[in-house]
Amino acid sequence: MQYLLRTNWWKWACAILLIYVVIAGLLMPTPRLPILNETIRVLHFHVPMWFGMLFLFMGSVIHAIKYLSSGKQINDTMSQSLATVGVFFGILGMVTGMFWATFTWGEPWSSDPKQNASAIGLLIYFAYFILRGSIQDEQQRSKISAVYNIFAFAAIIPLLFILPRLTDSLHPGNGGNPGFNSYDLDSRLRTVFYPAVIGWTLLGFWIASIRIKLQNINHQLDD
Amino acid sequence: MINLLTILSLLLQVPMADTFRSDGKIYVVIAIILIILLGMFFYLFRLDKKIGQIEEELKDKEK
Repeated sequence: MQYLLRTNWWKWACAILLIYVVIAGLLMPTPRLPILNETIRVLHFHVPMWFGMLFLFMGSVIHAIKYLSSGKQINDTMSQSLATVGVFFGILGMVTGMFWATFTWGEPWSSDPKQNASAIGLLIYFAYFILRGSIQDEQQRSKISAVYNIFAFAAIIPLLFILPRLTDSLHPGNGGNPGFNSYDLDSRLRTVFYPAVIGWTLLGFWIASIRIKLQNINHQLDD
Repeated sequence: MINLLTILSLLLQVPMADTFRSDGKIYVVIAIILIILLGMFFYLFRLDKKIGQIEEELKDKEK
């Protein structure tokens, strides 16, 4: 994160990647699939939200550990900002997913294992912010929320990637459902999907970096 | 599974937005999304720059 705060080139990379994703994502030929039809293109926008969220949470937990080992306030600021943007991405992923599901699975919420698990995961992160807000002492707040952050990240990985795979799920790649490989008849989707994941993730880090700078200024003004 | 899906899609004549594309209207959609996206990036860069300026000012004041 320190490196991202100092450099600018990756912001241009983010812009170029996302412009490419919009053009190619809407124009490139896609596999003709029943039920999904053209909505398969949502893959380049809905799924990267969750990937972005996960990378942001990963950054958050790394800085939480860094805070615990170094005690530097800046690491706590970074950890909190990354988690905030991560939750924002998660909510966007949830809303887009529900909208997509309305037209493909027939209803916004099918109580699909992955839907439920992602809702639980987001709630765990909501609790992170409630925890932060409820502690007055700055050092105590940073320490306790850093420890909680590690638990939250340790909980969200099995919730999103292991538990839904153990049961039947509507999501591709879960519970015997065909995954990416079988949908993706000739790797056409991949050429847009991977840039989309990188681009949207970078956008998340970009917003987080602005938040971090803002909070640093606030800290300096307080001192 | 791949074969099954291919056969299924051929049999069902999966409806796609083929005429929409040939009418050229899809380019309007892309243009509009691009305008919004470019506006967002422009705004983010501006925001970044402004915060950078405030950071510099704070550094100067501390000296």
